[in-house]
Amino acid sequence: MAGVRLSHIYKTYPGAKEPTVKDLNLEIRDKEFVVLVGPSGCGKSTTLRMIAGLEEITEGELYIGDRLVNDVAPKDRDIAMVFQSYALYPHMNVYQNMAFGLKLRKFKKADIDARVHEAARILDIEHLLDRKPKQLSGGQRQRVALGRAIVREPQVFLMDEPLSNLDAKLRVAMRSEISKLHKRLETTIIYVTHDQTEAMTMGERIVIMNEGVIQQAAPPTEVYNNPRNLFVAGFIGSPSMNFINGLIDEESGNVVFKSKNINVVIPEGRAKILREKGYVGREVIFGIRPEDLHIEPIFLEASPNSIVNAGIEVAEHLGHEQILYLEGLGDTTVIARIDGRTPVSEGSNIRLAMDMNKFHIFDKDTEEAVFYQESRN
Amino acid sequence: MEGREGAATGGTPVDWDRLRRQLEQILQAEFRLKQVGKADWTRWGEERDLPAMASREREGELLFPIRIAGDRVEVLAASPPLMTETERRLVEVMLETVRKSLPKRKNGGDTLKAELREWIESQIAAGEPEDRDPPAHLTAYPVLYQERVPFLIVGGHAHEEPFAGDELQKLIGSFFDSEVLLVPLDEREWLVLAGRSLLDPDDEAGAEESVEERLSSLCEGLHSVLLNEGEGEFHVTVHYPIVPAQSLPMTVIRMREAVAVGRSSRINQYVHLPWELYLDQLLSPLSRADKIRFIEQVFKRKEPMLDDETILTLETFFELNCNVSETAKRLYIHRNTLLYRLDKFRQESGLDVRNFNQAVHVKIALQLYKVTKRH
Repeated sequence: MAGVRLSHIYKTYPGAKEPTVKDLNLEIRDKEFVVLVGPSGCGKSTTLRMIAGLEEITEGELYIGDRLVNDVAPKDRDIAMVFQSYALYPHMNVYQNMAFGLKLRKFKKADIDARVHEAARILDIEHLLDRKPKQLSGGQRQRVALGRAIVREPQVFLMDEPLSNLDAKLRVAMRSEISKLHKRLETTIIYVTHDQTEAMTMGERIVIMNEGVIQQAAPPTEVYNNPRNLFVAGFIGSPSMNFINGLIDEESGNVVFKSKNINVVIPEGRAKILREKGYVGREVIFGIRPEDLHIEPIFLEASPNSIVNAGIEVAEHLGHEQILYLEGLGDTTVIARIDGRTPVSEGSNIRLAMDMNKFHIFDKDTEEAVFYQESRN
Repeated sequence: MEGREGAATGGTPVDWDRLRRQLEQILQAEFRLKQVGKADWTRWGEERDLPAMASREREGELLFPIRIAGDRVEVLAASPPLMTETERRLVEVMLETVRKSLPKRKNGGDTLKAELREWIESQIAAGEPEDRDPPAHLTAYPVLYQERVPFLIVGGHAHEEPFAGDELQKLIGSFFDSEVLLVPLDEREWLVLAGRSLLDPDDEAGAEESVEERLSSLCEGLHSVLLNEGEGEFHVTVHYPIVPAQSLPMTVIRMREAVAVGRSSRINQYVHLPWELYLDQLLSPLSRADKIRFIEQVFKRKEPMLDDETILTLETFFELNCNVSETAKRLYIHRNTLLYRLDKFRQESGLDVRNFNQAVHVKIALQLYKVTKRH
């Protein structure tokens, strides 16, 4: 097993004006499950492919364990890959698919047999060992692809969108399978996805990338509760965080956030930070997650300084919860997530209280989170 | 020149396929050209105390040796073996005579690869790849008269060191587990000639598979094995089975075209199947200006901006024959959400992709849009 260290990594494709990956620094600990996540074209797959040795590193250093591997061929990096196109070898049965790499490396027959059966047992595919790929379902094929990687007992597993060819239900099931597998194998996994739910549910640490740059690398809850900037705040969470343009002002000794139909008092601790950083009197972006807008009477009663009135444009009833699309607040549609029991109707008005312990303020120019505090992760 | 090492020293060209057909007609038995392992060949001979070049009976076939090439023996296999002892002896004598007339060479395997490469490149360079028989010295290789499945693999990343041919040969040989010829066309481009038996169905389910489906899964498997075994990411294509002596240079041209077109029109794809690229091949010679003009005419605006979601939705819709339910299922969205997206696209572009003619325009414009946006 080994950690992976990326130091000041750049990737520039021939003829490109801008690097695809810019000054990427990341230390992945031994046995850690790290998920690289970001929108299409953010550089996450390129980063993984550089680790795999499938793309040349333009600048910077890449270490697997203590070994500098910039110029080491993929096959000598002691990694195993599971990619989106998990093509199995069509003319071989499951056993042969899993044994192929070991056979090629001249492992003893008994060792091959032991490894294949152990991996098959872990993945619950022992009963499929004699079958050909075309006789398998999508989920079974994906398990075989994982098995093919597991039998090699690599230092690091690299997975690039391995679940994206599966249907939604199977994807959810395989998510937890891979997480369990990680705990069982106790090995380093670097996993790439564009799906924030996959990232949040699987990663011990998630690395959010945009335009070739790491935006934040932290555990899922940290990223969710303490986003470093506007991009991270908007990318993680569904429905995503509400962003309202407005002004930080001072009224009757209180620091307040003001926008159209919004005038909420900012609690003293955070007000102090805003004063110290010189945000009073400045335009900012106010961020609040849909679940941090409340309609419960007890919350409204306890939060007289953060109450707003809005019109319900659309109400989506999802059974256990409702998603309200609210108009009249600031310059945008604000989304609130409330419980599924409270009766609400489209076109009516509603009173809500903002949880003033959970809001975020972003600098309008830099888009950095004003209250962000770097954790030790 | 590398290709001249061990090159032909006289001899008469032999059309092995013609010879095979003649034997079939005369003896009313089915003959085919194939290879067997040299070790097996020797063992079978030792079991019956037979000379090295005497015929052997094996699993219902009568095997007549043609030549020993490295660790393989090229044979003419007759099945069912209904010949009399006299006929069998006559075939042996005839083949011995033919063998003696063949050009002499030093190192069968490597020389064949070099000579094949030279033949392919010279035919392509001369611009006359069709309807030309191989040069006389290549007719000494019966392997070129057996039906083969050709693959082309092209190195896709920028490692400075060229790929080690021996390792690649070993990997691909193990992968196909059958006689396979790997011909380096240059440092990053390899021609693979695999046995036709790869396409034989191995069970009932396999019998229902089309040739394209079988070739496609083999091609994806080949790409996958190169990636998994750490050789790197290669672009891979395949062609329908051919008899190399008849059409190899032309087949190489077709496969090179498939890779070139696939690489330019389908970003991040490494398996390029010719039968999926007909439209791409038709559109690729258009100039950039013509492509942009067509896009603008279809979308009725300069520089249309299509977001990833719209592109994915439309592509999936076309891939699934404009079937709304299937598309919604594939995209994991509600049918109404898909209809909403298609309506939104119609409102913004004036194009209704549920109308056949407009769908054709959008399909082509989308294909061109992706190419022009990347260059």
